[in-house]
Amino acid sequence: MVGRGQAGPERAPGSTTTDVIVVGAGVSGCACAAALAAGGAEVILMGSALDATGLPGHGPAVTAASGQWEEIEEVLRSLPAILRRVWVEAASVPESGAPMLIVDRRAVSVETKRALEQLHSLHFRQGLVEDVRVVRGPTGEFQSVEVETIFGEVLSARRVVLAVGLALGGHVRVGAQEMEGGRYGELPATGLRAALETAGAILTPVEEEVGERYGGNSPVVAQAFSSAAHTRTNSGLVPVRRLLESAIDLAGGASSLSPAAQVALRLAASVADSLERTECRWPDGLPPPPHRTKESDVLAALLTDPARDPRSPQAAGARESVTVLDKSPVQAAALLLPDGIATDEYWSPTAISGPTCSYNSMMVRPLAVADNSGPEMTSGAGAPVGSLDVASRLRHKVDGLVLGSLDSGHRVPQFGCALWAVGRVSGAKGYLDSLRSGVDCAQRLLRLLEDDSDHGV
Amino acid sequence: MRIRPRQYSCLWSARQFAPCGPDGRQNGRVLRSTSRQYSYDVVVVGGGHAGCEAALASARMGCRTALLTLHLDKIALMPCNPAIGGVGKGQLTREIDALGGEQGRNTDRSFIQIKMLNTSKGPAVRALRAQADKRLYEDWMKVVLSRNPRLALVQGEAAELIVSRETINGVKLADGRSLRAGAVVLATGTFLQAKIVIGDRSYAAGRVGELPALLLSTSMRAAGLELDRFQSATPPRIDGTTIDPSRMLAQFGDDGDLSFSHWGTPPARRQLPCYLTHTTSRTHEVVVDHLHLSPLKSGSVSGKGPRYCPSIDRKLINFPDRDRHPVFVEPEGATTQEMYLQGLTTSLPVFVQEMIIRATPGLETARLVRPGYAVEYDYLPPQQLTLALQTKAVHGLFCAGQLNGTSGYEEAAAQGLMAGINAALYAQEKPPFTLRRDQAYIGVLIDDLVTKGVDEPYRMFTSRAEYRLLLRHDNACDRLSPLGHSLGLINDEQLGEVMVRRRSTDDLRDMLESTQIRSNPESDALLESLGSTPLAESQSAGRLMRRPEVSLEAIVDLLPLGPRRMFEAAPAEVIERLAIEARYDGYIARQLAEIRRHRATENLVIPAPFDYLRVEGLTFEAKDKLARLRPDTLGQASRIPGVSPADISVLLVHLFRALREAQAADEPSGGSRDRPATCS
Repeated sequence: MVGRGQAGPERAPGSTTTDVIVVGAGVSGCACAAALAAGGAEVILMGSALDATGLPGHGPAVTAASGQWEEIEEVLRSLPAILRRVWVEAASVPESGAPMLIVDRRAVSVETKRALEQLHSLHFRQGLVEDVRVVRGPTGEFQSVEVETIFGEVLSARRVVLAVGLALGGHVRVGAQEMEGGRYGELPATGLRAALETAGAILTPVEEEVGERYGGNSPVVAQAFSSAAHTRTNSGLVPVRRLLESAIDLAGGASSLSPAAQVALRLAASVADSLERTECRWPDGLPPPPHRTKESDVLAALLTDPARDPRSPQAAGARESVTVLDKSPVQAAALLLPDGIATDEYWSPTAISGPTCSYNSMMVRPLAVADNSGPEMTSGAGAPVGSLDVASRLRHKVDGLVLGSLDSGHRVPQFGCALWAVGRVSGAKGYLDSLRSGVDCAQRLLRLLEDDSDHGV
Repeated sequence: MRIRPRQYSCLWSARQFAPCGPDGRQNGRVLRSTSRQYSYDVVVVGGGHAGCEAALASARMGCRTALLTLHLDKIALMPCNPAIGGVGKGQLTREIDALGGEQGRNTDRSFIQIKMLNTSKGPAVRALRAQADKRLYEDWMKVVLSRNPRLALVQGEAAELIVSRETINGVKLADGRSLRAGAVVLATGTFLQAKIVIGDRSYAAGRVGELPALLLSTSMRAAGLELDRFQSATPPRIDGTTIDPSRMLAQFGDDGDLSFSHWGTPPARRQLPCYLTHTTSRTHEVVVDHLHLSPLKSGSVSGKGPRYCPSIDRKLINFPDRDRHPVFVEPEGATTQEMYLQGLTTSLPVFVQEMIIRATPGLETARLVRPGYAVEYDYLPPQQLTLALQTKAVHGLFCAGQLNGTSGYEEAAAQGLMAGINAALYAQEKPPFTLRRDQAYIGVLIDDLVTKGVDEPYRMFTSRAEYRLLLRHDNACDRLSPLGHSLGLINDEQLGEVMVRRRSTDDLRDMLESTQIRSNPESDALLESLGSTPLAESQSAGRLMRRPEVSLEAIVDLLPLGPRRMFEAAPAEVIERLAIEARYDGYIARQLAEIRRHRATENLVIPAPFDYLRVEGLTFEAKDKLARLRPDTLGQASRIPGVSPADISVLLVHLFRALREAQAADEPSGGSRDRPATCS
């Protein structure tokens, strides 16, 4: 199926060696590239499809392994200001006080791309990387490291960072379907895997499960919300953006606020510190994205027929708790987390098994979906919605390979000091861990690049 | 160079990876939602511009609808130029909006530049064009889809059409679920058996970085549908912070309150500029030097590409004498610095693309962000469809968009809307809804596709419409909103707005027709200053306006106070439409007369099934083509290449005779001879 030309690898005449190439523009790749560029390094950030830049691929929950707020805040503070702002602004804090952030995935993706484009020494490049190899001089000394894309393009750098998630030998299994790829619907990094194996890198299999999602108009969501009315753990969300936009004194705080609101306030303050220094404000007069628009205005913009559309502002009433972001509950009786204002999907995490269990200090029980495999529904009058209880995205499993035995957490030993890894492929688990490993690796590399230039390499 | 053998052909496989136990459990966990059936009225396959319109139309018409897409994070993606409109295409988008579609509104929510093209030319070729923010376009479309109470969005791959006795019953997903429905719309874009090509390299992908749909083609062929190959390509994108605007011509949007949609208030918006530059002899040298590496030459692309959106390599082959071609550098949005290079479409190797860009004035230091590429895919030759976009082979199966061999978001959305409407009508057991060539560009588009077929990706032009003076962007509402209202896609309030606008235009015209302008020194002087001749005798303001050199605004001072106030109070669009209708009154009347003459035979329905072989006097070629393509109407038959006017006369006589015989059989007492024979 793959056509491979007879011509050798192609390099643009006069192409130069950049400081670092980061392969993979997901959560960890973007964090690493941003931290490198903020530290003055020249970085090329490569993604197989740049429209998915920075997209948190596995649901909206940011949780800490330690289960502590301090860990979440510490990692966010370590991010370059320009990227911290993106995550904090897209986040909401559950009023229950559960130590987790719920982010608008689409907002993180769009704003990450926008923010990283402000960094002058960071350059995006679209291309699926198929090969990585070390270039040595006549006496075998390290000169540079090259990557080759599926289109035959060759780019050269002093260091390469792999941030390819589970795309190495990745398999996605959805129900009866099995496909290659590290994330649903995306191409696998087959060539890169072969290159790493040829070099003797140790690859360890891992498995991950991604929760299912339901549309906001699904009866599954409506049912979960109505049954949650009786449970103590039902909880609203405090969106950090609202605090940034409001007149609340962020530095002063307010002791009368709930614990969750105080956390949100601290997060907002950590961004407000750097407001002047970053240029991420939305350009005046240009069209606003849904994630920067209030839910009521989002609905007003739809210009629907109020008589026909029960979700229009005039008729929202009964379902306000679902549609208004300020009140979007973190569903605890059957945990459903809002996936973002543009997507309007609700995500049910994977880690729940048994009749009830604990998910980030919340007692939850799995989502119950009415079985409709019986007689088919007919389109009779009085049935305003159809089979909307279909999952918008099925629960699926991703098998992939991660790099084992990395030196100091990031360096791939078989490639000397040329090849590094961050995020899921380096063994990180969850967004927070991925962000931390991206920043951590960037700091090590910045020191290394400085040493290089000190020694005239 | 190492060449590693790889097995891309089995990227997707539909096999059961681990069968469930009898209790539906797998590895101890309850497996929900697999091999389950869900039932809808309409299922739409594909979440691009055609799929979104189809799903929304169907849901808004009251049908329980599912939109099935390979990737829910890529709804309404603009993989090529994030622009909507242009000459011919802009009219399509206005028509979509007038019928109750979403493309115009969604463009208004997300555009960063808008302008009216051809303001100095005739009204038929005037059109809007907007540059959208590609990410916001997706986000806002997702908002609209997800908030519809009857629409379920489902991520998954359509693996198989469920067909029994030539009738569609739904779609089976690769993950094991089934979406049952009496009507299915296929809007798969470029994803069927898709392959991406740059230079001499290629890999299976629907869009860059995305897996293709490898399963559905087989099922479509099994259902009796033929598929063929087309290709399309997109230019490279560059980092907008690395261009030199001082070496290019900045192009700004129009001031004022332009908008695509007829509904709601136009957005007040700051706009971003585009830049115009051109290729040079250096650029051409680079291309010619590397032409042997072009997929066109190396044969790695077999499908036919769009003639009207050619790659730079193709342009240099076809026009060797031209020493420069224009290049428009256009922003991809407010959310990104990336810019689109309209005019530099190419799938040459990446290093050649960089050389081409850097040889272009203003782009000498530009950084490449996304290389251009070509995509080759299966399309459905559209002569297999009826005017309702239903396949002739499978009842209840509709096709729309790039799958039908078109190019462009507007062409796709127009078909999507019509396929969605017709799928909903089919599900509700109502007669199909079609538009004639004299009613809408949408009618021209679909008639061209299903009657003449395509031998390259089809693009709309004003020249394709024989009645283009009637099919203007300014009167789309008059033409189509009442139809949209009867379908349930336009609400009472919207129809009311249309009526009010129409009435105020008519009132103003009546007033001008009845207002006499006298010949006096004042009017003589004014007319002379406009380069016109003084009045010999009194004349109505309406007649005076028909003089090409006289505009309404110019003679306003000659009007008496009452009519002048009425004129000044009228909205700008009313005055524009009035001026057009006055100036082109004669031509419009002639086109209307021509339409009336044609309609008698144009809409004569050919009963199905119809045995062409029995018709004496038809040429062999005509019999063959007619029997194969099975046109719905005589008008359609007349436009099939290879069917001559003589064949149509023979067919007409035959149909009339058959009709008379049928009527005679119904009413043996006679007396039905004067009944009109047309079905319109």
